[in-house]
Amino acid sequence: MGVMAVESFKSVPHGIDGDTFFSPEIPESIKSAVQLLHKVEAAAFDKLVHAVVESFQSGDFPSDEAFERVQADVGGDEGPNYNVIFTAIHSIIRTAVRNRTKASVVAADLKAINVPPPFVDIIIKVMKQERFQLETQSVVTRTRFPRLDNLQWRVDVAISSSSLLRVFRPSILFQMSLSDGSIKTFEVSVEQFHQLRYNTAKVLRDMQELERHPIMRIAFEGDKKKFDDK
Amino acid sequence: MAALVKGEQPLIAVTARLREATELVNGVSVQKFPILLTRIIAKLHLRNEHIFSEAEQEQLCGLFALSTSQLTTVLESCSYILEQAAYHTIHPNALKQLLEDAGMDEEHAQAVSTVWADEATEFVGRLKEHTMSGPKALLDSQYRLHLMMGESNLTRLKEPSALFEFKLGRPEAGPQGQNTDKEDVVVEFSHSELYDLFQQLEHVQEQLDSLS
Repeated sequence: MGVMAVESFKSVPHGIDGDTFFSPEIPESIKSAVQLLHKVEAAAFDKLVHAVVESFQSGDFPSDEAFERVQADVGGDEGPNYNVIFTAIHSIIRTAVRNRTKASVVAADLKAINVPPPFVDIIIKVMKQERFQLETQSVVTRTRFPRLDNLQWRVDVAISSSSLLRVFRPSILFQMSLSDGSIKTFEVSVEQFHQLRYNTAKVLRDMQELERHPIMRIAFEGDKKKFDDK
Repeated sequence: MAALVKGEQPLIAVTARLREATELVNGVSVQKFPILLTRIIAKLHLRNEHIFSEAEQEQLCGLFALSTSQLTTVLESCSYILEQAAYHTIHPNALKQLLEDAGMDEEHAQAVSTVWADEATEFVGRLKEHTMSGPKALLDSQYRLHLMMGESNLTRLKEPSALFEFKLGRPEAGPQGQNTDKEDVVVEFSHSELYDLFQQLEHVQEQLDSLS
Protein backbone atom coordinates (compact mmCIF):
# COMPACT_ATOMS: atom_id res chain seq x y z
CA MET A 1 0.00 0.00 0.00
CA GLY A 2 2.76 2.35 1.00
CA VAL A 3 4.70 1.54 -2.15
CA MET A 4 1.66 2.23 -4.31
CA ALA A 5 1.12 5.58 -2.62
CA VAL A 6 4.71 6.54 -3.35
CA GLU A 7 4.40 5.32 -6.92
CA SER A 8 1.34 7.44 -7.58
CA PHE A 9 3.42 10.54 -6.93
CA LYS A 10 5.72 9.58 -9.69
CA SER A 11 3.29 9.08 -12.56
CA VAL A 12 0.73 11.14 -14.36
CA PRO A 13 -2.64 11.02 -12.59
CA HIS A 14 -5.56 9.64 -14.57
CA GLY A 15 -8.24 11.82 -16.00
CA ILE A 16 -6.25 15.00 -15.74
CA ASP A 17 -5.60 15.16 -19.49
CA GLY A 18 -8.35 17.58 -20.42
CA ASP A 19 -7.39 20.05 -17.72
CA THR A 20 -3.84 20.59 -18.77
CA PHE A 21 -2.56 22.60 -21.67
CA PHE A 22 -2.03 19.30 -23.45
CA SER A 23 -5.74 18.82 -23.95
CA PRO A 24 -7.37 16.77 -25.26
CA GLU A 25 -4.76 14.17 -24.44
CA ILE A 26 -1.34 14.03 -22.86
CA PRO A 27 1.01 12.27 -25.27
CA GLU A 28 2.21 8.80 -24.26
CA SER A 29 5.84 9.85 -24.36
CA ILE A 30 5.21 12.41 -21.66
CA LYS A 31 3.36 9.93 -19.49
CA SER A 32 6.24 7.48 -19.71
CA ALA A 33 8.80 10.21 -19.26
CA VAL A 34 7.25 11.46 -16.04
CA GLN A 35 7.86 8.12 -14.36
CA LEU A 36 11.45 8.08 -15.57
CA LEU A 37 12.14 11.62 -14.51
CA HIS A 38 12.02 10.67 -10.86
CA LYS A 39 15.00 8.42 -11.43
CA VAL A 40 17.06 10.87 -13.43
CA GLU A 41 19.59 13.22 -11.91
CA ALA A 42 19.43 16.97 -12.34
CA ALA A 43 22.72 17.10 -14.23
CA ALA A 44 21.53 14.55 -16.76
CA PHE A 45 18.27 16.36 -17.18
CA ASP A 46 20.11 19.59 -17.74
CA LYS A 47 22.16 18.12 -20.56
CA LEU A 48 19.06 16.71 -22.22
CA VAL A 49 17.40 20.07 -22.00
CA HIS A 50 20.40 21.63 -23.70
CA ALA A 51 20.10 19.09 -26.48
CA VAL A 52 16.46 20.06 -26.89
CA VAL A 53 17.38 23.74 -27.05
CA GLU A 54 19.95 23.01 -29.73
CA SER A 55 17.42 21.12 -31.77
CA PHE A 56 15.00 24.04 -31.57
CA GLN A 57 17.66 26.42 -32.71
CA SER A 58 18.76 24.30 -35.59
CA GLY A 59 15.14 23.68 -36.46
CA ASP A 60 15.60 19.97 -36.69
CA PHE A 61 15.96 16.87 -34.54
CA PRO A 62 19.46 15.68 -33.72
CA SER A 63 20.87 12.86 -35.78
CA ASP A 64 21.41 9.43 -34.24
CA GLU A 65 25.14 9.94 -33.69
CA ALA A 66 24.62 13.34 -32.14
CA PHE A 67 22.11 11.89 -29.74
CA GLU A 68 24.35 8.97 -28.85
CA ARG A 69 27.02 11.48 -27.96
CA VAL A 70 24.58 13.21 -25.67
CA GLN A 71 23.69 9.91 -24.07
CA ALA A 72 27.35 9.06 -23.55
CA ASP A 73 27.92 12.54 -22.18
CA VAL A 74 25.14 12.18 -19.67
CA GLY A 75 26.20 8.72 -18.57
CA GLY A 76 24.23 6.87 -15.99
CA ASP A 77 22.15 3.69 -16.27
CA GLU A 78 19.09 5.13 -17.82
CA GLY A 79 20.80 5.45 -21.22
CA PRO A 80 18.17 3.89 -23.47
CA ASN A 81 15.39 5.90 -21.86
CA TYR A 82 16.95 9.27 -22.52
CA ASN A 83 15.30 9.47 -25.91
CA VAL A 84 11.90 9.18 -24.25
CA ILE A 85 12.78 12.03 -21.95
CA PHE A 86 14.14 14.05 -24.83
CA THR A 87 10.92 13.56 -26.79
CA ALA A 88 8.90 14.50 -23.75
CA ILE A 89 10.78 17.73 -23.13
CA HIS A 90 10.54 18.59 -26.81
CA SER A 91 6.77 17.96 -26.86
CA ILE A 92 6.16 19.90 -23.69
CA ILE A 93 7.87 23.00 -24.95
CA ARG A 94 6.41 22.71 -28.48
CA THR A 95 2.85 22.29 -27.23
CA ALA A 96 3.17 25.10 -24.76
CA VAL A 97 4.44 27.48 -27.43
CA ARG A 98 1.86 26.36 -29.97
CA ASN A 99 -1.04 26.89 -27.64
CA ARG A 100 0.52 30.06 -26.35
CA THR A 101 -0.03 29.09 -22.77
CA LYS A 102 1.04 31.36 -19.98
CA ALA A 103 4.19 30.35 -18.16
CA SER A 104 2.34 30.11 -14.85
CA VAL A 105 -0.24 27.76 -16.36
CA VAL A 106 2.52 25.57 -17.79
CA ALA A 107 4.22 25.41 -14.39
CA ALA A 108 1.02 24.52 -12.60
CA ASP A 109 0.08 21.86 -15.14
CA LEU A 110 3.50 20.25 -15.12
CA LYS A 111 3.39 20.03 -11.34
CA ALA A 112 -0.11 18.57 -11.59
CA ILE A 113 1.16 15.78 -13.81
CA ASN A 114 3.89 15.08 -11.29
CA VAL A 115 6.98 16.33 -12.98
CA PRO A 116 9.57 16.93 -10.27
CA PRO A 117 9.47 20.65 -9.30
CA PRO A 118 13.15 21.47 -9.97
CA PHE A 119 12.74 20.10 -13.48
CA VAL A 120 9.62 22.19 -13.95
CA ASP A 121 11.63 25.32 -13.26
CA ILE A 122 14.28 24.36 -15.79
CA ILE A 123 11.64 23.68 -18.42
CA ILE A 124 9.91 26.99 -17.79
CA LYS A 125 13.16 28.89 -18.06
CA VAL A 126 14.01 27.24 -21.37
CA MET A 127 10.51 27.78 -22.68
CA LYS A 128 10.64 31.49 -22.01
CA GLN A 129 13.95 31.76 -23.76
CA GLU A 130 12.92 29.75 -26.81
CA ARG A 131 9.37 30.95 -27.23
CA PHE A 132 10.07 33.91 -29.46
CA GLN A 133 12.32 31.97 -31.76
CA LEU A 134 9.85 29.13 -32.17
CA GLU A 135 7.07 31.50 -32.98
CA THR A 136 9.15 33.31 -35.59
CA GLN A 137 10.10 29.97 -37.08
CA SER A 138 6.49 28.99 -37.52
CA VAL A 139 5.73 32.33 -39.16
CA VAL A 140 8.47 31.68 -41.69
CA THR A 141 7.46 28.13 -42.48
CA ARG A 142 3.71 28.50 -42.58
CA THR A 143 1.64 27.66 -45.63
CA ARG A 144 1.12 30.72 -47.74
CA PHE A 145 0.24 31.80 -51.19
CA PRO A 146 3.14 33.32 -53.07
CA ARG A 147 4.13 36.76 -51.89
CA LEU A 148 5.19 39.70 -53.93
CA ASP A 149 8.97 39.91 -53.70
CA ASN A 150 9.45 42.77 -56.09
CA LEU A 151 7.33 45.01 -58.26
CA GLN A 152 8.87 46.81 -61.21
CA TRP A 153 6.74 49.19 -63.20
CA ARG A 154 6.87 51.72 -65.97
CA VAL A 155 4.48 54.17 -67.49
CA ASP A 156 4.28 54.25 -71.29
CA VAL A 157 2.47 56.53 -73.66
CA ALA A 158 1.49 55.13 -77.03
CA ILE A 159 2.02 57.94 -79.48
CA SER A 160 1.02 56.39 -82.75
CA SER A 161 -0.09 53.03 -84.07
CA SER A 162 -0.82 51.38 -87.37
CA SER A 163 -4.50 52.15 -86.87
CA LEU A 164 -4.26 55.70 -85.62
CA LEU A 165 -1.88 58.52 -86.33
CA ARG A 166 -2.37 60.14 -82.93
CA VAL A 167 -3.03 57.83 -80.04
CA PHE A 168 -1.50 59.41 -76.90
CA ARG A 169 -2.83 56.79 -74.57
CA PRO A 170 -0.91 56.10 -71.36
CA SER A 171 -0.53 52.58 -70.13
CA ILE A 172 1.39 50.90 -67.33
CA LEU A 173 3.58 47.83 -67.46
CA PHE A 174 4.03 45.78 -64.28
CA GLN A 175 6.55 43.07 -63.62
CA MET A 176 5.84 41.13 -60.45
CA SER A 177 8.44 38.76 -59.05
CA LEU A 178 6.70 36.32 -56.74
CA SER A 179 8.21 34.36 -53.89
CA ASP A 180 7.63 31.07 -55.70
CA GLY A 181 10.10 32.22 -58.34
CA SER A 182 7.68 33.11 -61.11
CA ILE A 183 7.80 36.45 -62.86
CA LYS A 184 4.58 37.90 -64.22
CA THR A 185 4.78 40.67 -66.77
CA PHE A 186 1.59 42.34 -67.82
CA GLU A 187 0.14 45.56 -69.01
CA VAL A 188 -2.39 47.50 -67.02
CA SER A 189 -4.73 50.04 -68.56
CA VAL A 190 -5.33 53.26 -66.67
CA GLU A 191 -8.85 52.16 -65.69
CA GLN A 192 -7.63 48.83 -64.35
CA PHE A 193 -4.87 50.61 -62.48
CA HIS A 194 -7.36 52.87 -60.78
CA GLN A 195 -9.44 49.90 -59.77
CA LEU A 196 -6.36 48.17 -58.36
CA ARG A 197 -5.31 51.24 -56.45
CA TYR A 198 -8.81 51.67 -55.07
CA ASN A 199 -8.97 48.03 -54.00
CA THR A 200 -5.58 48.25 -52.30
CA ALA A 201 -6.60 51.34 -50.38
CA LYS A 202 -9.87 49.75 -49.40
CA VAL A 203 -8.26 46.58 -48.07
CA LEU A 204 -5.70 48.61 -46.14
CA ARG A 205 -8.43 50.61 -44.51
CA ASP A 206 -10.38 47.45 -43.69
CA MET A 207 -7.27 45.92 -42.15
CA GLN A 208 -6.70 48.96 -40.00
CA GLU A 209 -10.29 48.95 -38.81
CA LEU A 210 -10.06 45.25 -38.07
CA GLU A 211 -6.98 45.73 -35.98
CA ARG A 212 -8.66 48.46 -34.01
CA HIS A 213 -11.82 46.44 -33.43
CA PRO A 214 -12.55 45.75 -29.76
CA ILE A 215 -12.64 42.00 -30.25
CA MET A 216 -9.03 42.10 -31.36
CA ARG A 217 -8.01 43.65 -28.14
CA ILE A 218 -8.41 40.40 -26.24
CA ALA A 219 -4.81 40.40 -25.27
CA PHE A 220 -3.18 37.13 -24.47
CA GLU A 221 -0.19 36.90 -22.17
CA GLY A 222 2.72 39.20 -22.22
CA ASP A 223 3.51 37.93 -25.68
CA LYS A 224 1.39 40.62 -27.20
CA LYS A 225 4.08 43.19 -26.63
CA LYS A 226 6.37 41.22 -28.88
CA PHE A 227 4.09 41.72 -31.81
CA ASP A 228 3.33 45.36 -31.24
CA ASP A 229 6.53 46.64 -32.78
CA LYS A 230 5.78 45.85 -36.42
CA MET B 1 -9.16 69.05 -89.03
CA ALA B 2 -6.78 67.36 -91.42
CA ALA B 3 -5.98 68.93 -94.77
CA LEU B 4 -7.48 67.22 -97.76
CA VAL B 5 -4.14 66.62 -99.28
CA LYS B 6 -0.80 65.90 -97.72
CA GLY B 7 1.77 67.11 -100.15
CA GLU B 8 0.56 65.79 -103.49
CA GLN B 9 -1.39 62.77 -102.25
CA PRO B 10 -4.98 62.84 -101.04
CA LEU B 11 -5.46 61.17 -97.67
CA ILE B 12 -7.45 58.42 -99.28
CA ALA B 13 -5.61 57.34 -102.40
CA VAL B 14 -7.99 57.15 -105.30
CA THR B 15 -7.03 53.91 -106.93
CA ALA B 16 -8.79 52.19 -109.78
CA ARG B 17 -10.15 49.71 -107.30
CA LEU B 18 -11.61 52.49 -105.22
CA ARG B 19 -13.29 54.00 -108.28
CA GLU B 20 -14.74 50.63 -109.12
CA ALA B 21 -16.06 50.36 -105.60
CA THR B 22 -17.62 53.83 -105.60
CA GLU B 23 -19.43 53.01 -108.84
CA LEU B 24 -20.81 49.88 -107.28
CA VAL B 25 -21.79 51.81 -104.18
CA ASN B 26 -23.67 54.29 -106.30
CA GLY B 27 -25.87 51.45 -107.43
CA VAL B 28 -26.64 50.35 -103.88
CA SER B 29 -29.90 51.46 -102.31
CA VAL B 30 -29.37 54.59 -100.21
CA GLN B 31 -31.71 53.42 -97.45
CA LYS B 32 -29.81 50.22 -96.81
CA PHE B 33 -26.33 51.61 -97.27
CA PRO B 34 -26.00 53.34 -93.87
CA ILE B 35 -26.99 50.16 -92.07
CA LEU B 36 -24.21 48.34 -93.83
CA LEU B 37 -21.76 51.02 -92.83
CA THR B 38 -22.78 51.03 -89.19
CA ARG B 39 -22.37 47.30 -89.05
CA ILE B 40 -18.91 47.54 -90.58
CA ILE B 41 -17.71 50.27 -88.28
CA ALA B 42 -18.96 48.42 -85.22
CA LYS B 43 -16.57 45.54 -85.81
CA LEU B 44 -13.75 47.18 -87.70
CA HIS B 45 -11.50 47.50 -84.65
CA LEU B 46 -11.22 43.72 -84.29
CA ARG B 47 -8.22 42.53 -86.17
CA ASN B 48 -8.82 38.84 -86.37
CA GLU B 49 -12.50 38.65 -87.08
CA HIS B 50 -14.50 38.76 -90.27
CA ILE B 51 -17.21 41.37 -90.11
CA PHE B 52 -19.78 39.29 -91.93
CA SER B 53 -20.13 35.54 -91.84
CA GLU B 54 -20.42 33.53 -95.05
CA ALA B 55 -24.18 33.24 -94.68
CA GLU B 56 -24.52 36.93 -94.07
CA GLN B 57 -22.41 37.72 -97.11
CA GLU B 58 -24.72 35.65 -99.28
CA GLN B 59 -27.68 37.50 -97.88
CA LEU B 60 -26.02 40.82 -98.68
CA CYS B 61 -25.35 39.71 -102.23
CA GLY B 62 -29.04 39.09 -102.68
CA LEU B 63 -30.03 42.27 -100.88
CA PHE B 64 -27.84 44.57 -102.94
CA ALA B 65 -27.98 42.62 -106.18
CA LEU B 66 -24.23 42.23 -106.29
CA SER B 67 -22.07 39.31 -107.19
CA THR B 68 -19.78 37.87 -104.53
CA SER B 69 -16.68 39.53 -105.88
CA GLN B 70 -18.47 42.85 -106.24
CA LEU B 71 -19.67 42.61 -102.67
CA THR B 72 -16.14 41.91 -101.51
CA THR B 73 -14.90 45.00 -103.33
CA VAL B 74 -17.59 47.15 -101.76
CA LEU B 75 -17.01 45.85 -98.23
CA GLU B 76 -13.25 46.12 -98.42
CA SER B 77 -13.36 49.62 -99.85
CA CYS B 78 -15.80 50.79 -97.21
CA SER B 79 -13.55 49.32 -94.54
CA TYR B 80 -10.54 51.01 -96.08
CA ILE B 81 -12.29 54.37 -96.27
CA LEU B 82 -13.33 54.20 -92.63
CA GLU B 83 -9.89 53.05 -91.46
CA GLN B 84 -8.19 55.88 -93.23
CA ALA B 85 -10.74 58.36 -91.94
CA ALA B 86 -9.90 57.20 -88.42
CA TYR B 87 -6.15 57.16 -89.01
CA HIS B 88 -6.07 60.77 -90.14
CA THR B 89 -9.11 61.84 -88.12
CA ILE B 90 -10.78 63.28 -91.18
CA HIS B 91 -13.66 65.62 -90.61
CA PRO B 92 -17.03 64.33 -91.97
CA ASN B 93 -17.38 67.18 -94.46
CA ALA B 94 -13.87 66.67 -95.71
CA LEU B 95 -14.59 62.97 -96.01
CA LYS B 96 -17.69 63.66 -98.08
CA GLN B 97 -15.65 65.86 -100.40
CA LEU B 98 -12.98 63.18 -100.78
CA LEU B 99 -15.53 60.55 -101.65
CA GLU B 100 -17.23 62.74 -104.21
CA ASP B 101 -13.83 63.35 -105.77
CA ALA B 102 -13.37 59.64 -105.93
CA GLY B 103 -16.54 59.22 -107.93
CA MET B 104 -19.21 58.56 -105.33
CA ASP B 105 -22.48 60.34 -105.91
CA GLU B 106 -23.69 62.98 -103.46
CA GLU B 107 -26.31 60.89 -101.68
CA HIS B 108 -23.98 58.03 -100.88
CA ALA B 109 -21.12 60.28 -99.89
CA GLN B 110 -23.50 62.04 -97.53
CA ALA B 111 -24.57 58.70 -96.09
CA VAL B 112 -20.94 57.81 -95.36
CA SER B 113 -20.30 61.21 -93.91
CA THR B 114 -23.32 60.98 -91.60
CA VAL B 115 -22.40 57.55 -90.31
CA TRP B 116 -18.86 58.76 -89.80
CA ALA B 117 -20.03 61.82 -87.88
CA ASP B 118 -22.09 59.62 -85.57
CA GLU B 119 -19.65 56.83 -84.96
CA ALA B 120 -16.22 58.41 -85.26
CA THR B 121 -15.51 59.15 -81.60
CA GLU B 122 -16.43 55.71 -80.43
CA PHE B 123 -14.57 54.02 -83.23
CA VAL B 124 -11.39 55.96 -82.56
CA GLY B 125 -11.80 55.20 -78.85
CA ARG B 126 -12.05 51.48 -79.57
CA LEU B 127 -8.96 51.63 -81.75
CA LYS B 128 -7.06 53.36 -78.97
CA GLU B 129 -8.09 50.67 -76.52
CA HIS B 130 -6.83 47.99 -78.84
CA THR B 131 -3.38 49.43 -79.22
CA MET B 132 -0.89 46.62 -79.38
CA SER B 133 0.49 45.74 -75.99
CA GLY B 134 2.64 43.19 -74.22
CA PRO B 135 1.89 39.48 -74.04
CA LYS B 136 -0.64 39.74 -71.23
CA ALA B 137 -2.86 42.41 -69.82
CA LEU B 138 -4.61 42.74 -66.50
CA LEU B 139 -8.24 41.92 -67.15
CA ASP B 140 -9.54 42.01 -63.60
CA SER B 141 -8.39 42.16 -60.03
CA GLN B 142 -10.21 40.91 -56.95
CA TYR B 143 -9.34 40.68 -53.30
CA ARG B 144 -10.17 38.82 -50.11
CA LEU B 145 -9.39 39.95 -46.61
CA HIS B 146 -8.51 37.15 -44.18
CA LEU B 147 -7.95 37.12 -40.49
CA MET B 148 -5.61 34.27 -39.69
CA MET B 149 -6.61 32.89 -36.35
CA GLY B 150 -4.39 29.86 -36.19
CA GLU B 151 -2.24 27.43 -38.05
CA SER B 152 -0.74 24.03 -37.36
CA ASN B 153 2.21 25.37 -35.44
CA LEU B 154 0.68 28.33 -33.71
CA THR B 155 -2.81 28.91 -32.39
CA ARG B 156 -4.53 32.05 -31.15
CA LEU B 157 -3.23 34.35 -33.78
CA LYS B 158 -4.84 37.46 -35.08
CA GLU B 159 -3.06 38.33 -38.23
CA PRO B 160 -4.91 39.97 -41.07
CA SER B 161 -3.83 39.03 -44.54
CA ALA B 162 -5.12 40.01 -47.95
CA LEU B 163 -5.33 37.81 -51.02
CA PHE B 164 -5.34 39.43 -54.41
CA GLU B 165 -6.33 37.57 -57.53
CA PHE B 166 -5.17 38.98 -60.85
CA LYS B 167 -6.76 37.71 -64.04
CA LEU B 168 -4.28 38.01 -66.87
CA GLY B 169 -4.98 37.37 -70.51
CA ARG B 170 -4.87 38.71 -74.02
CA PRO B 171 -7.04 41.79 -74.22
CA GLU B 172 -8.18 41.52 -77.87
CA ALA B 173 -10.57 38.66 -77.57
CA GLY B 174 -12.35 40.47 -74.76
CA PRO B 175 -13.68 38.91 -71.58
CA GLN B 176 -16.40 37.03 -73.39
CA GLY B 177 -14.35 35.86 -76.35
CA GLN B 178 -12.29 32.72 -76.65
CA ASN B 179 -9.42 33.42 -74.33
CA THR B 180 -7.26 30.36 -74.04
CA ASP B 181 -4.34 32.28 -72.64
CA LYS B 182 -5.91 33.23 -69.32
CA GLU B 183 -3.94 33.05 -66.15
CA ASP B 184 -5.00 33.59 -62.56
CA VAL B 185 -2.30 34.87 -60.27
CA VAL B 186 -2.95 34.78 -56.54
CA VAL B 187 -0.71 36.86 -54.31
CA GLU B 188 -0.86 37.14 -50.55
CA PHE B 189 -0.05 40.26 -48.57
CA SER B 190 0.43 40.97 -44.92
CA HIS B 191 -0.39 44.40 -43.58
CA SER B 192 3.07 45.81 -44.09
CA GLU B 193 3.50 44.22 -47.51
CA LEU B 194 0.20 45.70 -48.60
CA TYR B 195 1.30 49.09 -47.40
CA ASP B 196 4.47 48.81 -49.49
CA LEU B 197 2.38 47.95 -52.53
CA PHE B 198 0.21 50.94 -51.86
CA GLN B 199 3.26 53.22 -51.73
CA GLN B 200 4.42 51.93 -55.07
CA LEU B 201 1.00 52.43 -56.62
CA GLU B 202 1.07 55.99 -55.33
CA HIS B 203 4.35 56.59 -57.15
CA VAL B 204 2.81 55.27 -60.35
CA GLN B 205 -0.13 57.59 -59.85
CA GLU B 206 2.23 60.54 -59.45
CA GLN B 207 3.74 59.70 -62.82
CA LEU B 208 0.32 59.44 -64.43
CA ASP B 209 -0.65 62.78 -62.96
CA SER B 210 2.49 64.44 -64.28
CA LEU B 211 1.59 63.28 -67.78
CA SER B 212 -1.58 65.30 -67.92
